[in-house]
Amino acid sequence: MSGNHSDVEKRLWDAADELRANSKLKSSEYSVPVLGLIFLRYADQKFSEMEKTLAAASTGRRKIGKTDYQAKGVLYLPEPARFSTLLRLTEGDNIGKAINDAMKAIEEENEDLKGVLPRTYTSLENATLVELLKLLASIPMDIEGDAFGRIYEYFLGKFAMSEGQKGGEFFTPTAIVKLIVEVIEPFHGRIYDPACGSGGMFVQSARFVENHKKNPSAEIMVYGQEKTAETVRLCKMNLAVHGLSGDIREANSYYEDLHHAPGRFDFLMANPPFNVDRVNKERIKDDKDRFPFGMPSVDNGNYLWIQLFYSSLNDTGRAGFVMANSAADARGSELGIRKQLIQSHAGDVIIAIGSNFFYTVTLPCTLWFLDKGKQAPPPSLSGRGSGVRAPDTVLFLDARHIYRQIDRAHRDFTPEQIEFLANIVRLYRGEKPEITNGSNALVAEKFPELRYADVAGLCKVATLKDIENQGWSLNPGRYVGVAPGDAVSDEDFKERLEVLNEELESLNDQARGLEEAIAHNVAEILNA
Amino acid sequence: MSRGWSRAKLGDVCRVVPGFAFKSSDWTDHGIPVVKIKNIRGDSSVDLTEVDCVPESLLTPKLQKFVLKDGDILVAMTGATAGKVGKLRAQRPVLLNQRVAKIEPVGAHPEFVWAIVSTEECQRTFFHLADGAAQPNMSGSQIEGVEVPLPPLPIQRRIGSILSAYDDLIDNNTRRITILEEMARALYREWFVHFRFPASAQATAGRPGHEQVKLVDSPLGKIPEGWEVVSFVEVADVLSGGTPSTKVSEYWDGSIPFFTPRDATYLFYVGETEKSITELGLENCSSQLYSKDTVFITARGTVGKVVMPPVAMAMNQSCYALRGNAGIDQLYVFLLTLDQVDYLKRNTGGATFDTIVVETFRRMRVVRPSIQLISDFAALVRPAFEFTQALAAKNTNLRATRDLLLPKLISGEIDVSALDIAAQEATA
Repeated sequence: MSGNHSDVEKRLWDAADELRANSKLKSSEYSVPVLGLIFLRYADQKFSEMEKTLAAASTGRRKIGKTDYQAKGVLYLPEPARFSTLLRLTEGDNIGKAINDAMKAIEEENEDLKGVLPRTYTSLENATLVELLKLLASIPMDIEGDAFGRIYEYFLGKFAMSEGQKGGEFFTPTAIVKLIVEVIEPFHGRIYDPACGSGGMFVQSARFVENHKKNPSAEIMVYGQEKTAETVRLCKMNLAVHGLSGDIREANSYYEDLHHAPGRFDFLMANPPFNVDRVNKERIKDDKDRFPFGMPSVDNGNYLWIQLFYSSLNDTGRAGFVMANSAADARGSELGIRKQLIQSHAGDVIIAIGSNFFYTVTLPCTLWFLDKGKQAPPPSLSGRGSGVRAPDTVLFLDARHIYRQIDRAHRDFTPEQIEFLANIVRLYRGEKPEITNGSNALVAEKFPELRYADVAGLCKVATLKDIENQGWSLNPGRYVGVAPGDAVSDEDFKERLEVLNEELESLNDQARGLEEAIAHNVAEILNA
Repeated sequence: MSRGWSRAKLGDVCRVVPGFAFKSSDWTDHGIPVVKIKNIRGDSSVDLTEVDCVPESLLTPKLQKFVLKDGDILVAMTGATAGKVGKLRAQRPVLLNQRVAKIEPVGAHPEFVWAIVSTEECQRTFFHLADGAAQPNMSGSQIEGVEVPLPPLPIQRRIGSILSAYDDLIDNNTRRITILEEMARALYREWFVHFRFPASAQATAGRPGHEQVKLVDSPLGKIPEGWEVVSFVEVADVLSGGTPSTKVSEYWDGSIPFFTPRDATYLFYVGETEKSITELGLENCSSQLYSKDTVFITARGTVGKVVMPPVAMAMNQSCYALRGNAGIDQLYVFLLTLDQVDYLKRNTGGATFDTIVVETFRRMRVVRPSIQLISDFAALVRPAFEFTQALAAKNTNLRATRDLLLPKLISGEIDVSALDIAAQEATA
């Protein structure tokens, strides 16, 4: 079943990519129009289904209209915006203009989408558009579930990969998003992402709720901020394709807080840009609500984001976010902020992820999880002995050696691996492990008693005292140690090389920042 | 002097804390590293690659004030490097031995204090405090009495921030060099010690990987079939060095770097040589001009340091130069020699001090793989070697730039008050 899905996605992508190659368009000029057409095709599919349902239920006394569709949560498509209308056009027609008009017509009928849909179709050749329309029309009607959502996400990811560095800004690899969702378990409530990009975090949250047999639109409300207007549009389309509605605003989260975030959210998920410099701290240094631990003295935005995330949570809120590795060991004023954060008892779980998970950078990363309501589990919760979580513990997980190699430069997690990692967290919390994705064998191998235990090289529960002894480091490598094993196994060499490579990548990254600072300072001195 | 600037005694803005007198019976190989005089290298760094330790059990509350942390400023109070300062780079706690002192900023910006004490001028002043005795020696209070310029705190911050970017990048580059070197060594051991080499990347070349090669007996244990046990001199020629007469000034201070064991650091490539000779000097000594990537091994006195010149160099008679024969790549010869250093060190002779002689190399048995495998290996690691050289060159440039800026900044000659500099606050 899922195999079929990925076949469809891959076939569509290959065909669409070939069209692009023949058209000599740049990937960045092509991606938004194609995503717009996928959106249109999806909307049309929903509209057609609803059309049949409404016709069957109709008593014929009253004409079925726009409000009937909207009442059922379906986008109303006027005739010029119907996919079938567009398909009837020939190469002699001005197809670009026709699609622009279709997009315009949809926006006019649907207030939520105002200014969201692309209108740049006249810059694509007629022949390319005809082929694209045909291609998208070929998506089989009988595929189940959230097929369009998957296709949209697949295309987003592929475009991110082909657009190079820039693409990484709006796309977090699905495997990482899924792991974050599994750990914070956003069942119900308000979810916030102040660096929401194309909305991958929201889509996965909704899927998580669905997998637990609940209706996402009734259970969760999503709120986002994103600084690039174009990405805000991609995000809104993404939500619409997944049948979700949310409040996504265009804003720069360092300076703007359009959602009045402090203390408001049940869940927070984010993948902020790493190591951003030149944030104007003068503008925000007095905002103690959003930055309760003060300004870092170094020119790096990481600890601004961390505080934004922390302060957005309500008293029982949970956060999961992606962080640069360097933040876990950062010294000086950043250490001071980290110490306050750890002493607030909000630190819950830290997971080290290996390199090559992101499409456009090889950099490894660390996932940080906060839980303001962190408590020891009640003793009888699971019936098999509780977890070991306490207000002053943090679970460190080293997942750098857990991955699936996709191609030479890219890795992800299998569903089984994601479930396994999340299950370690569940055991730590004294919850029952989930076994719907086949992680039973892995869990049984490492935790034969189905009870949390420290495993060298994999996981370790540290107390605040332990963390203080490590100079307030949140680097999992410092706590979990290395797995015992053969002195010279094949894996040892690879592991060693990997560890070295990760360190090298972090240093390369850090060096770029220093080089820029030096260049800037020298320019200032020379111009003075 | 610029507005708001004054002069102060170092003691007004710093505390000088001399280290602890550990007993000679305290020293061990493992435990907590202790910074001694020898670790202050005189190039602004504190080198912990060969560090002595004391047992963890020694760390009592009484010793807490001798525990150092990353970024601490240290000064050597005696010996060859008396007056030299170094900035500690350490991820873990380190202790401080006697005759080395910590300069602890109080009420001044730490990076600015570092800027001040790391000037040539200030280090010379420190050295002169100790003058007059056979063994130079200085006290903490003498150091505290040295006069320094003192701008207002915001200016200190800006100056500190400009300069620390250089220090941080130099440290970053050095760490990257170390990592790249470790990667190359790890790969060498994987292929040539553990015999886990892959098949050649081009399928047509047909060189098999280790899975296709069986192991056979040899005098050095099991080795892959087709490999040979040979004398080291069959892998590389062992060549000697020499020194032109020191009495002839025309031979010295020329354009040719002249390597002696003192120039060897713990890095693969020699940075700079203390001495240089002229073309004439080269003609009048028994050293050849050894090209880039020749392997130099120190053979007398300090035995067994293995390095390579990044540019053509001559060398003195305390070293041997090793050049691979029959097309054996220098990078392979280098890593092979490095891997054999322990053997060489154990097999030294000499009446008054340890020496390696040509006979030592002749007797040393090594395993020789196919020339194709060596070439494949060298092609794989060459970019890493080149990268370390580029990083080292960058560090030379950064040090020079920093040294150029430093006096002008702390004298106020370059006015930083109006510049757009992201200034760092004092870090506790």
